[in-house]
Amino acid sequence: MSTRFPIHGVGLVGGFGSGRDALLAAIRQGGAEPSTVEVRRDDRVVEIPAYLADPAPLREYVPRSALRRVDRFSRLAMLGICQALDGVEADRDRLGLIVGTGYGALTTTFKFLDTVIEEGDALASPIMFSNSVHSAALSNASICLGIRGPGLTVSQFELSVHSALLSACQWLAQGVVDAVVCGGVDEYHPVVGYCRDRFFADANQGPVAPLDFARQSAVVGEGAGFLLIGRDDGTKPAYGYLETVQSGWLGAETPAFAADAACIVGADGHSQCGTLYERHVPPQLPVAAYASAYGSFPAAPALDLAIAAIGVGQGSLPVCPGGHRSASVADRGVDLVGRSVSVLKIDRDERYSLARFSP
Amino acid sequence: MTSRAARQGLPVTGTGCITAVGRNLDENLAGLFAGLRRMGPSARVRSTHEVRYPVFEVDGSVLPEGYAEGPECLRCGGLALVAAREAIQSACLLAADLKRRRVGVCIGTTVGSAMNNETFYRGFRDGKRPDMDAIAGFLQANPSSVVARELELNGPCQTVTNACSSGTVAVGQAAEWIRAGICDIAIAGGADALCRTVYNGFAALQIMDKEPVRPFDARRCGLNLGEGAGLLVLESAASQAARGVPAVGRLVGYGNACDAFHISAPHPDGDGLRTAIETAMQQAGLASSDLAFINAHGTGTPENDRVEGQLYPDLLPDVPFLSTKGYTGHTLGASGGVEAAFSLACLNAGMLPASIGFAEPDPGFPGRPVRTNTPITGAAALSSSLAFGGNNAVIVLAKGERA
Repeated sequence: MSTRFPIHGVGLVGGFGSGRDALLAAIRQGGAEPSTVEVRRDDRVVEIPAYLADPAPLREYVPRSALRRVDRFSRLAMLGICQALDGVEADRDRLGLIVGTGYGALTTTFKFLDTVIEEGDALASPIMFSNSVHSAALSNASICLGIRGPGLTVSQFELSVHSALLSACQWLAQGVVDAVVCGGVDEYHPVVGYCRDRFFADANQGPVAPLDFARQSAVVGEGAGFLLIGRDDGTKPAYGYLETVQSGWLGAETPAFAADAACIVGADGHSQCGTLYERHVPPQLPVAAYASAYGSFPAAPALDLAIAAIGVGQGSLPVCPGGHRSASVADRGVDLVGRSVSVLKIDRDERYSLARFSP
Repeated sequence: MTSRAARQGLPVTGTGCITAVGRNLDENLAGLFAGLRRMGPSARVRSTHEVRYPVFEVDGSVLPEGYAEGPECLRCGGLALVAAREAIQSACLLAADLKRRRVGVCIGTTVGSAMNNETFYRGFRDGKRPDMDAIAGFLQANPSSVVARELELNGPCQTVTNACSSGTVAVGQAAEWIRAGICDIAIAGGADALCRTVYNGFAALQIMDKEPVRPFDARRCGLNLGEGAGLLVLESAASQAARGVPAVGRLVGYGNACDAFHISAPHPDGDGLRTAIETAMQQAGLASSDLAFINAHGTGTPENDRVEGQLYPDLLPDVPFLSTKGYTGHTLGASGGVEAAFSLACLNAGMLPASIGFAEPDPGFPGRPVRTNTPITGAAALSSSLAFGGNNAVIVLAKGERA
């Protein structure tokens, strides 16, 4: 895709709090302070750090009565969507909605299984089942916010959000919609904590050092991030432009970085993928990673994309906490005058996506 | 059909399909025209419901090694792989062709990306240390990733999880990739496997029929679950011309719209479905008189069939329609892909199978599906899918040169 798309709104919630200012404040302070969750390990219970999000501010946008049957997964997504739409006029018949998620509505999925296990197959909860599908966030947002344009939910694990962004560009380029709210959401559940602990045990304790690529330092997180992306009408947008989204397989090709780019990498403290960034990002590019503000979860690249948009909007990329790469922006922000920002995510199959933003 | 639509349509150069009816598209088509309904109590999904609801289950022996056993999500990837290999062969694509071109994968599913392994979760709840194989399986099971990994494809990869409209949406999204020049070829459609969680969920919603499903019939009282995969090979006109392969058909229109109405029921007036149909027909540049038939979603649930049975005679008058779910069951995220493959095969055969399960017209709406195998003369067909949460997706397909 080569047509540029203006970004008019950003919405985000995570372990740092809710909204753009909360995220930037957390980054300025060197990262957010994680809370802790209990995980059962062998015969004992241990505490591990976790970046948990609070969807409560959604009440500023949607009446409590409308949220009665909306679960936490959908609320997190809706908070991001509402923030992205805040203050922007958008024809809801010509507005698309795309949600990327790696895990889907985990809590409701397991609550549904709880009803099966505790009450028996014949007394499983129909409401839990209806809300357990991956598209529940899209559906609830569409219903509560009256969004009647096209809808898409993508589940491509760590690449869910980037894949969603690719489709958003197509809808806009082909005039299917006037604007798209596009992003991702994932929620924490104790099963995730258990799995992380089984896979990584003590290496899952933080502090997150995402640019120390070879070290396993990931901390589990949750949250949502959304962008309101429109079609270029010549008006200067608040958050710059999305220029391109490129995706493919590193087994067959190399990502094409712009020579002027600063790069936000999706490194989140997982060493298996971290080393891939070291190998594939040109060493001369300034590199940043912000997982210490929100932790590690499949839809976290939505927050990287939001930071890129905020960065090009304000003309500088924020200081990157906890960096160890020599050319990183660990100690200073990056002035983006004349620069673009590329956001790279690589998954375990060495599939990648590279999104480029410009002022 | 207008020549404009035929020119602008995206070539479909291959199709693949596996359902309870058959292991490939030819077997499926033969089964449809023979009125074959291969369903019964599940051999794999156990439940304590008093009623053993009939399901349409695929013979697992046809699945590739490593995909027949283990979590349901892995089975889903196996079904996708079977259909993908058939579609590639049908498109006369060799391994070298796949390497030389940029090939994407876009597959719709529900079970294939769900982290809902009940055995694992029971162990977790009981304070045991459940084995991590179920989670490792989940992390490997994403059907688009399975196909891309096994076939070493180098283009974009997307798994659509729009619930029951996923397969149709995946076909539409993949077409957009090709039109935008993101890839030369895309393998697109849907794949889904039977699963205890889904079985219990639909039973809880009380929308499963204990009898063979009766789409659009006055006595209908729900769906039968099924499993399978249906995939198309979509290709740019330039790539198709360079390979000199005739098209099985063309994708000429795609529409997608949300009802913004209810989490599990369609809009009673079919608002979102109407928008999706209008968008797809506009993109195709076709009038309803150009359509040979409609492959309806037709699940057999009271609400779904009422909405479709009301809307089609109003919006697309005199166009014959059917539901093929009487043959396959509702294959959920796979259904859009399966029905796209069926639609092309029927267009090329010049014949529609009977909408099996339909006998008694519903006085509540005017639409009546075809009762018998019916010759058709038109060159385009519309296939629709409706989903939980009110997502509606429609594609319009046209006959190809390889009829």
